[in-house]
Amino acid sequence: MSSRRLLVALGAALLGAGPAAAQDSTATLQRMTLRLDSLKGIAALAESAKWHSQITDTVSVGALRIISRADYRPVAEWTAAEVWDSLLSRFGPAIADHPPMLLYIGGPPVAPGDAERYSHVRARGWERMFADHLWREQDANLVGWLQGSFPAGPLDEKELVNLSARLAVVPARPNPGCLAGVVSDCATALGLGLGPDTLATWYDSTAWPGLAWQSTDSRPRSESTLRNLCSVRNYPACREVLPRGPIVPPVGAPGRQLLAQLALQVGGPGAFERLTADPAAPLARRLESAAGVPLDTLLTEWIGVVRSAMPAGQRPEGTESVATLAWCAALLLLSLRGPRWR
Amino acid sequence: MFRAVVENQWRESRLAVLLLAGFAFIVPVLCLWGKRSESDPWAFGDLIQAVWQWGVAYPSIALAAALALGIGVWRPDHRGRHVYALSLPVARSRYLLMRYSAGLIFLTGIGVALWVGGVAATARVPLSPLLHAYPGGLALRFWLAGLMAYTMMFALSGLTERAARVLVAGSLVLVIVAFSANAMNAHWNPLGWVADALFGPYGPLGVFRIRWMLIDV
Repeated sequence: MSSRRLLVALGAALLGAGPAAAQDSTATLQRMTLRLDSLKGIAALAESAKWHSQITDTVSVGALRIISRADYRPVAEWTAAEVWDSLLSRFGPAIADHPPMLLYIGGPPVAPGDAERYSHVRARGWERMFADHLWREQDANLVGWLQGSFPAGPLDEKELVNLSARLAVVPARPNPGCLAGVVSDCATALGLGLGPDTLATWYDSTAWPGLAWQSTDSRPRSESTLRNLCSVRNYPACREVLPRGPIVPPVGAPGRQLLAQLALQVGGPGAFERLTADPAAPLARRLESAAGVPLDTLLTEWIGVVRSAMPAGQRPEGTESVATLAWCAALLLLSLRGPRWR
Repeated sequence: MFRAVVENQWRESRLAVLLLAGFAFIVPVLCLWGKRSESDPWAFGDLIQAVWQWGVAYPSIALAAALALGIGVWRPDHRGRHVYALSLPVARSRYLLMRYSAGLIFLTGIGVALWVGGVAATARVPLSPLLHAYPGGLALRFWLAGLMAYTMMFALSGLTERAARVLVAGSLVLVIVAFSANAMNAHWNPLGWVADALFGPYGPLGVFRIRWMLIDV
């Protein structure tokens, strides 16, 4: 009997000790976590100081300054030279007078094989970064119109397909005409030569509630009542609230990027300088000046590129079908002429 | 005799064929389910997005059909150690052609199910003048892709054990060479070449490459 009592008392003590021990452990764990966080911070500072102490070398090519470790110098020199040549051809000789553009390079040493292997990939990355920097320095009109999608070479096939699909699905007034080849509609869709009433120029009132719904996240809360009203087809509310913020354009930033890219391509040497020469001029005139051709010609070219990227339905092309059938026939023939039986 | 082969084949593969035909019919319907909205002009963007997301289902069904039919076509012969086939008074090539054609009939049936499903689904959805429905083109592409994959599976399933071993060994050698080349930083990738050759515009699997869209611009 006494041993049973002892057992019960021991069990009760253990059960009671559990939560107390857990409380102790929690406090210890919290203390250790704080200490660990502090140690991690110190380690990060030490790592940063070590990294900065290793970055002692500066490669200077044109206006580019590549700041890196000494053992990175050959790679940095080669890459910077390639990037600078490309930037000169894209932006013109005027960028030689640009204030130095800095790039810090860290990370582990480059393996001899990798330096050569990834050199072009690295150069494309640097070039993109410096080119974006040069574009962002331009006037607000141009940068705002491009919406952060700066020209960086031809758009790839996927981007063009998405562009043509967007042109077809966004219910903007100018889009059907633009897809059909009406140059003035394309100019409107691209935000060129718009009047004071952008909302009505771009969208029919039936599309306004959708616009309000799309841009809710980026707008101040004070507008939420008006936006909610607009969402339920209160058109005066739409008319009041939508012009307060940026309106979703009929053609997205890639479309504008493509047009600027075409202007630079058509314009050839000096095109960028002509594009950025007169920030006060309307964008349409600046694009004409850059390309050296009328805007209509440029837009015709733009429509041609967009339409050529439109998928031509799902039906397999003739050559594709013939190739597939030929492969099938060849494989079938091999199967039929195989060993008699297994 | 062809009828007997087809009936025999049907008994072997009917579950897979019916299941895949059901999938082929239902996928276009599900893809456009609830997308009927005449009042919201922005709905076409969601429609295209849904169609794009469901696009991966069509080549998957084509591959599954090819796998089921390509293996199923040979299963009775493999199981009976070709005794039945050997007892028939026909040439091997003719017999195999009948087996292949039987599978082709079922593949066509699955393609027709996809076409009917596509037509039924797109008929319910009003489209903007800038968008087009492609149930016929999609079904044709599906059939062509399925045909190619089915023929490959048919050829692979019909290989002798020795030929299969050679093929597997060759594939392993290719993988080993590719990994070795990568480890040695060599500037060539044989696996990439093979993939390019297979999926290139005139490669046997090139028909699988494009985006599969029931509705597109």
